[in-house]
Amino acid sequence: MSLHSRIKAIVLAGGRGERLQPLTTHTPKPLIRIVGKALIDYVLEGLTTLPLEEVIVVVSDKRVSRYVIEKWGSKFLLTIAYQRKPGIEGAILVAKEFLGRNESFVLAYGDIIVDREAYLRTYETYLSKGLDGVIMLSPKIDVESYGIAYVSEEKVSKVEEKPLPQRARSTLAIAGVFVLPYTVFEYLEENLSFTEALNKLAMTKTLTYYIWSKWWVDIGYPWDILEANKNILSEFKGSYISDKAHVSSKAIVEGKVYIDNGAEIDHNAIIKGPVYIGKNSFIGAGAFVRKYASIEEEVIVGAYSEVKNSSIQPNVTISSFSFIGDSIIGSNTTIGPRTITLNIVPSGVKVSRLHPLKVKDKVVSKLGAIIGCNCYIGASSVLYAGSVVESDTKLKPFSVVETNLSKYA
Amino acid sequence: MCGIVGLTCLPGKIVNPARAVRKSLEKLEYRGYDSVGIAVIFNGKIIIKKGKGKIHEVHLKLNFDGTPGSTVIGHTRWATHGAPSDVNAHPHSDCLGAIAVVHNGIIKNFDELRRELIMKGHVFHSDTDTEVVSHLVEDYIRKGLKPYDAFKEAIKKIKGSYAIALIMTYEPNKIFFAKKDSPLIIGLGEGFNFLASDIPAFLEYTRKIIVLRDNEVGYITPTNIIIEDMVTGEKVNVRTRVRTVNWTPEMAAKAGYPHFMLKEIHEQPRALNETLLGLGMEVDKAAELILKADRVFIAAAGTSYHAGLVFEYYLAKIPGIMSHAFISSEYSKYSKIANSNDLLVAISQSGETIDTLMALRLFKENGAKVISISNVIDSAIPRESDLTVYTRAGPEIGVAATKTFTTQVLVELVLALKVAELKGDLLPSEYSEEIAKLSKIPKTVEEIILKNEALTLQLADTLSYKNNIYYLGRGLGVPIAKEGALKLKEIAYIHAEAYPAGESKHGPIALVEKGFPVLFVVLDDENKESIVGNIMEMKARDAYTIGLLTYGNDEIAEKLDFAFTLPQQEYLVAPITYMPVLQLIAYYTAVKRGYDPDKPRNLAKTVTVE
Repeated sequence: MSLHSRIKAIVLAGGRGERLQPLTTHTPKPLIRIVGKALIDYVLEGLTTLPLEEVIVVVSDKRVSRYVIEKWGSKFLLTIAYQRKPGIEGAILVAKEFLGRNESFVLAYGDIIVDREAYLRTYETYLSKGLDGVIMLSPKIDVESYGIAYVSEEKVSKVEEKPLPQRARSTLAIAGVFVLPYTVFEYLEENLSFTEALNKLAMTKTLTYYIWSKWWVDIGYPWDILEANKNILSEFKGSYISDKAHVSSKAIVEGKVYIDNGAEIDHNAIIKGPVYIGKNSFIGAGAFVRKYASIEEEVIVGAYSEVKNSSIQPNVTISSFSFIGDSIIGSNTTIGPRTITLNIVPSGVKVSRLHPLKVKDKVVSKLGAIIGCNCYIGASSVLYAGSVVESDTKLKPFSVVETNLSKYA
Repeated sequence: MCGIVGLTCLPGKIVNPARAVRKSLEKLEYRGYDSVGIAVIFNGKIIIKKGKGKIHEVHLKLNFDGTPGSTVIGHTRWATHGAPSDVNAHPHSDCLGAIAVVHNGIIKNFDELRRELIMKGHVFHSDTDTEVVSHLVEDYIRKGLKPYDAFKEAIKKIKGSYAIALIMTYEPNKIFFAKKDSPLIIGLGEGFNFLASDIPAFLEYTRKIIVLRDNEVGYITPTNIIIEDMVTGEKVNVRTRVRTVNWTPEMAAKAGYPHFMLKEIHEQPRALNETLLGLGMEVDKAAELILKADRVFIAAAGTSYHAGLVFEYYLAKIPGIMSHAFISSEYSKYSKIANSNDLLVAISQSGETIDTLMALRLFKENGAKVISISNVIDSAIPRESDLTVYTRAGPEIGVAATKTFTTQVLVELVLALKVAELKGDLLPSEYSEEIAKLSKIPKTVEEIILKNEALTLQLADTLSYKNNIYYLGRGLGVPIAKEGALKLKEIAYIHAEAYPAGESKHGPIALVEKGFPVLFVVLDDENKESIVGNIMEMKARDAYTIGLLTYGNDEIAEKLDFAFTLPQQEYLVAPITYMPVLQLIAYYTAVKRGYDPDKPRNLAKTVTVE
């Protein structure tokens, strides 16, 4: 008996990343760096746990296809499909031609970060329950920014897209890993939205679920990157310093750190983990890099600068005597010396998925600056909490950028 | 829930088929373990070996492994209808001994079918619903149908849920099967094929599987598989359905959830519903005993003790009966007190808790009557009791009790209401009204879980960094607080203590400092105002205050650092509606701290040593 025991996966990596602007003006969303890897790498790594026959990656940018083919072409039988029609519906439909009639498939969003185990467990649920489909779910309080599922008697009974918080009666978010029957293509071809198609599937077929109870991050907003960094970094089991890295004997390295090939840590720099320092990055004399900082490759942190809980994308230069906290800096940007980010969001400014913390008796939301790609921030500038600098902006020295998160509302 | 297995192989392909089936049944023991049996076809005859007890016990007596034959079916039982006994153990046969059947599920119309068959002259041996299947097949064979057609006709007659495996001497290499609403999976081998209720049963032999779907029927032989859809009559293309599994066997049983505990928390609506539906005349009898007794004692340990405290409260507040709940290991204190006019209520999920059993024996020796509340039919405590009211939560595998607590409380609430009715405090119509209200609880619990799961995860983020926490409540809130604290202690390893809120001023509050978490169980009862006072006390000391309350208490919610708002209910059902939230808090805190909630250190599911 010839056995049909493998399955195909469709990865959706064609989104424009509008909510991630200005970080995605020059870098496609799937290639945003998170603790030394591209966003898409996390998804494809998760898929390596499954017995896959073929992986179909739906993209809308040639740079993504080039990257995926080069990095993953030897590990999967890869097919790249270009998204022609917009939306998740268009993305799924473009993959249809690569599937056999009535073939069930794994569907993975290209912008989620979760332990690899989650992919395996979802697929196992599909195998062992023998039902038509499985949706991975994860509890999230910000229901208004996710798809939400209702479950009863081990079945998914209904899904809802971004419900109003006061109306939502479930907090189980659709977590971007599915096993779905072929029928979903037919429903999408009837011009149903993906949510409508899932609801129709819930009625005509039997959909079950897998509840993932550990952390899971959907990279939607810039600060989701910080959340992902924090989760990944705090799971470091130990420290790793590459043989090809150069750490000065006078530098202080404490806590769990990952220092990649070619990185250099200069005299008197203090690295206080958990921290990631990417390939060929340079941490200058007396600099202080601490908790949940992810310095991606080819970055320079100048002498006596401090970086904490921030994502520094590749090729960024942070000049001396700066403070970068709770911030995200897009690739190829230069921060002039003595630039300061402030990081306490004024009370009353509500930001989706940004959760207030209790700090010294006060409940505050912490978020620094969101700076795009190819910017130049003049020396001694001050960036207020929640300020946004669009890509390709040149700011004069002594600039002040005010809080403005309205574009994410 | 029960587990079934079937194996048919070419001679020599599997060295000892009966042994393979016995080992497979052991893998399914989580589905039930009160009786076990196998049937084989050997030299044109069916041999059945079965008996009451755990698999290894029955195996010691009957030696399953020594059974010849290459077509074998087996069953491990979790009794729901008909007590566990040698006779009620599966497999069941027909009149001629030419058919043997094992079944997991419930045949709803068995009474009617059984009567018809008895009229036709069939002789039944057991009280089970399952036995009608073998006689039905026999009946169709007598009418001249071929074995497979007879089987299909029989399946068409039965209503309910089932996974069935059946063998007949007429076609000794076939195992016939049918599936509806109970799981059944085929394991495909070279020269052999398996059937089982769950994948781990045969993973040692094969990783190629077909998960059968509802209304599918067919048979396996050592080299072939036939499946068809009963409704459409169409043959299923077997090849397209084969899947390969490559994972750790344990996962299949908890499919859909990372841990049994989370699964069991989510199973509560169903467990509550089944418990309520399963209650019968034993409630009336138990209520009579409670009313007749001079004094009522309640003995239990761990989570069941907290359910005991809830019962004490219910008896006091609903019919107004004085009772005394104690921790069963302290039973010797009552040696001079217990007498023949007393009643002991023994509460034990497993029915095997040694301390509770010892307490029960002490009271019995002194002539007291004993009622038990248990989840395992015919276990030691029910066997030694005068009367048992069963919860029908199904097997609970997570060491931390979840669904068994809420179902115990449900049974207690029904009992207390019944006592009130017998006593004349409630009119029969009022009693029925109350029971009708209870039937809405499962849905409410489902809504509470869905709505609060993410919030509990959020709170767990904070709690996971704490070393201490207090749980405070008043009245019925005290046992809820105690049970909530026990959950956190046992799986998240955080020091958690529960007190009546009024007691906190008499000592515990001395430990409270900035950021010390204090969780309040706020009920819509006469204590609400006092508990607000306790919240303010804790706030004044900069505690991190958490509260569970119902809608419409916004002014209290605003005072709290973290509030769970639950649907408004009569406060008496709060142990059922509030507890899932406390269970989820403990679960997510344990996961956040990196512990396995299913296997807490130093703890066993059933405590059978003093």
